[in-house]
Amino acid sequence: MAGVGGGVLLGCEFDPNDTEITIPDQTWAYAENVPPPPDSVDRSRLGFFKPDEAATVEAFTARLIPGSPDDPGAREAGVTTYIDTALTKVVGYWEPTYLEPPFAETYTGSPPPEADNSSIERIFVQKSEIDRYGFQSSLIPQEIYRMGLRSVDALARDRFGARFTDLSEDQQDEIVGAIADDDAPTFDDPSAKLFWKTIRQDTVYGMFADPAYGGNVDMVGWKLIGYPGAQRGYTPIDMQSGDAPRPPQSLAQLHAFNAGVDVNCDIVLPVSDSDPENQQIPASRK
Amino acid sequence: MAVKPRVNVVTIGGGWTSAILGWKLGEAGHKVVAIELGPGRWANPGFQHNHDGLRFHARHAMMINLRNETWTWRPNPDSPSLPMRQYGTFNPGQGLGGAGIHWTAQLWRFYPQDFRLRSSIIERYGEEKLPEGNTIQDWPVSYDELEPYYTQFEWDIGASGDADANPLGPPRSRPYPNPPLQHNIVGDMFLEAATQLGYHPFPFSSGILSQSYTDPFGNVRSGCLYCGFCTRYGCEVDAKSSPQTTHIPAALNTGNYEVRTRSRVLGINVDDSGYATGVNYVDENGEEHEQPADVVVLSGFTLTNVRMLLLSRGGPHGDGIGNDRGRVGKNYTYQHFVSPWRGHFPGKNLNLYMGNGTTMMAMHDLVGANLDHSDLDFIGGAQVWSSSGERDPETTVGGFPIEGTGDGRKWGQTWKDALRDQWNSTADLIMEGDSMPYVDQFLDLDPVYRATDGQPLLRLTFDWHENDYAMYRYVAERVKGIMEQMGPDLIEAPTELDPYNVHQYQSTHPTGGAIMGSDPDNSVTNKYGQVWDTPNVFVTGAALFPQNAAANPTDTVAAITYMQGDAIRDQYFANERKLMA
Repeated sequence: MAGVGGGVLLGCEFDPNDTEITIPDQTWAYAENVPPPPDSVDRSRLGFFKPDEAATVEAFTARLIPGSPDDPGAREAGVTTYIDTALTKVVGYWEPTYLEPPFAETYTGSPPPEADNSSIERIFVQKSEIDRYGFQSSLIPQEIYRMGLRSVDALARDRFGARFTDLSEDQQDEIVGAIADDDAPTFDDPSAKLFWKTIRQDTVYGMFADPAYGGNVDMVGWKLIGYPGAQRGYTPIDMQSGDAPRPPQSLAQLHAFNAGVDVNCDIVLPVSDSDPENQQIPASRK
Repeated sequence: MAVKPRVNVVTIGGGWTSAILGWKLGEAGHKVVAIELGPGRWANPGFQHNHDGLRFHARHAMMINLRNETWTWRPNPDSPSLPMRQYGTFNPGQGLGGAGIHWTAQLWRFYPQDFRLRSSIIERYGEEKLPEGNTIQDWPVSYDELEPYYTQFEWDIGASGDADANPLGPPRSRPYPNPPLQHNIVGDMFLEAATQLGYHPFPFSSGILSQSYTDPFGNVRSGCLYCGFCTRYGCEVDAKSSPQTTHIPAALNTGNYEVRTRSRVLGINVDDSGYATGVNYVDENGEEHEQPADVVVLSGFTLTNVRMLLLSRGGPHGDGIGNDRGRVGKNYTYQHFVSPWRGHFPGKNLNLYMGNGTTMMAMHDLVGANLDHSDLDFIGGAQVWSSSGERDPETTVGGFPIEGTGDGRKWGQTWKDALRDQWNSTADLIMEGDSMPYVDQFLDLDPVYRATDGQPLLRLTFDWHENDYAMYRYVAERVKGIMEQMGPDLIEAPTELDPYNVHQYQSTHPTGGAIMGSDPDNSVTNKYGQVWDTPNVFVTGAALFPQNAAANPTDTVAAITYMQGDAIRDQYFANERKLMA
């Protein structure tokens, strides 16, 4: 699990005291496109967020997937830990992202005069067309969160005169809804759209990615939807059974693959100790 | 800069077409060296512990690294182009085996008509049936010529399928060597509904083994484990056919094939008379090497091959190799590959996280070759498929709830409840339609954006045309009918195609840009992929397609490469630097 990725990550530790965030040299990633999960996740301290930022992220994501101890949501799944870990371990994007200039600037109506002389500073695109081009921001996730969270609080203050974390759940829902509907004038860069896309996607990853990344604690996300996680395999009979999903299993619990062992029999391959039920061949399948 | 010993053939890219040529030419005693951008990798240990949807699916761990190079896009020649900064519309791979490692293994032959599309439409409906601005061409090779090569490839990799199950399918000289994979529950629901409506659904053909198989090279391989981590992953048991399971070992066994990994080719070198003399590349330590060769083969991804031609501007080829008559980049086509039709089946465990992208049903009733277009306002058509397997939460939960659920919010309690109730009970239907070439649809070098090594990026100019919208409307109405027949309680079925965008994954099937044709005025290469203006350079892969059919390209790419390998071995080396007839 460590290997090249471990070394790479070490060189990318984020310094939370550093207020200046610059786009890092990411040529390291030529060999290792996407780092593997971190070797360990430290739940006892924050790596990137300041405490008040973490509190806002936790409150915000808990409105995206509400929960309680009996019916876990984003808070119980550790989504904030997932996001903080992701922002701490890699400066910039975990996924391969092209961050070379020039960046796009949108306009409405007729194109600005500079648009004609193929400016290499900015590329002018009609506002109605920009979404077709996908992600076009120059910001890295650390900037999106640091500046976006300020805009969240500014919106909360504008509408309700208090920080987001001090609002009632109904008031918080109103703020979240305004951002989701791109009706949040306190946002500039990142736009409300980009902030929403980022935090919603990270909530998905924090709730539903493998627990090795710091979220999905006790695989509560997978239990919610009926996803068995990292399994070695299923039989053709499983494919047709319509049975309820097996209890989930994480990457760490996935049985090491015994290369050379005959796997072409009509049984499920050896699975982890955590899931003894699947070590048996059901009578119906013998 | 070190100059390596001269070889007979250098291939730019160490994927499937390189391995096939390495095997065929290596066996005949020709030295073949492949220069591969990404790392070396094998099932064991490389793919043994990779069931991580975030890393491999959501974050594209096996794909070309966009930090260094990407592609720019614009909808038409009048619009500005911007780079695709994060993965969306397609996923080209890097590393030994190329996209042949992370492919889905949907294995289709094109129809005989696809190879003479222009002629067949004109014969049947008249020239006025062709869409405005189209550049549709017949292929210089026929289905009958390729049929033996399709068959050889399918038996070499152990293809799975039922040759008798699709009464509308292209003719075959041999059945599949293995039966179809076990399809999922939705496959049965689709089979019943589509049959009731008079269609002809049938189990998928696949490049994944449905049972253990000893291939003609003597490799013993395991059948599929239905593990659910397939497309965008390497297969840990080599059940999914790849260059590594079949052709790379065969090529290495000749003793004449070598792959240099983590090495980036800078361009093709050319002498004053216009022939290629080899390539220069940079290895993983940043050292530049020259590899002289008698023949240079472009064996990368479609878009990589086209860009490499345009970047190689030596000698008399001032606009790039193959581009003396301005044909490189023309006839760029793509594919309709959308799955917006969803139905919710309350209380059912559909368990679509199992299996792979071929454990399902297809129907070819709406494929162009099987439609009478006399009263239709389009040409071409589409396959329709039932739900794929390998559903993971990382890339799918964001798409819930289904339209019409609760208050419609995609967050909050509505979202959570929908995920609980719908995620494992929602089926989707998929279409794969063909894509026609037009004059305003092409590839060239971007004037502004560059890779981190300073070379220009490739620019895609592409959008759907009226034929695409009309075809979509026709297919969508029928797919909706099938979904309704399956009896869901909630249904999502858009009837209009959205304009093309680059952020939504559709398929990794960009085709064309260095097409084969009957003469140098309408194409970049002859039927053997031999570049008209530089006859010791060969293009392989889907860049050769004059237009794209309603089917995945790999079977056709491999069949063409088998044909190319035989021709280079038997004809080219008997008469080097001459165009083959």
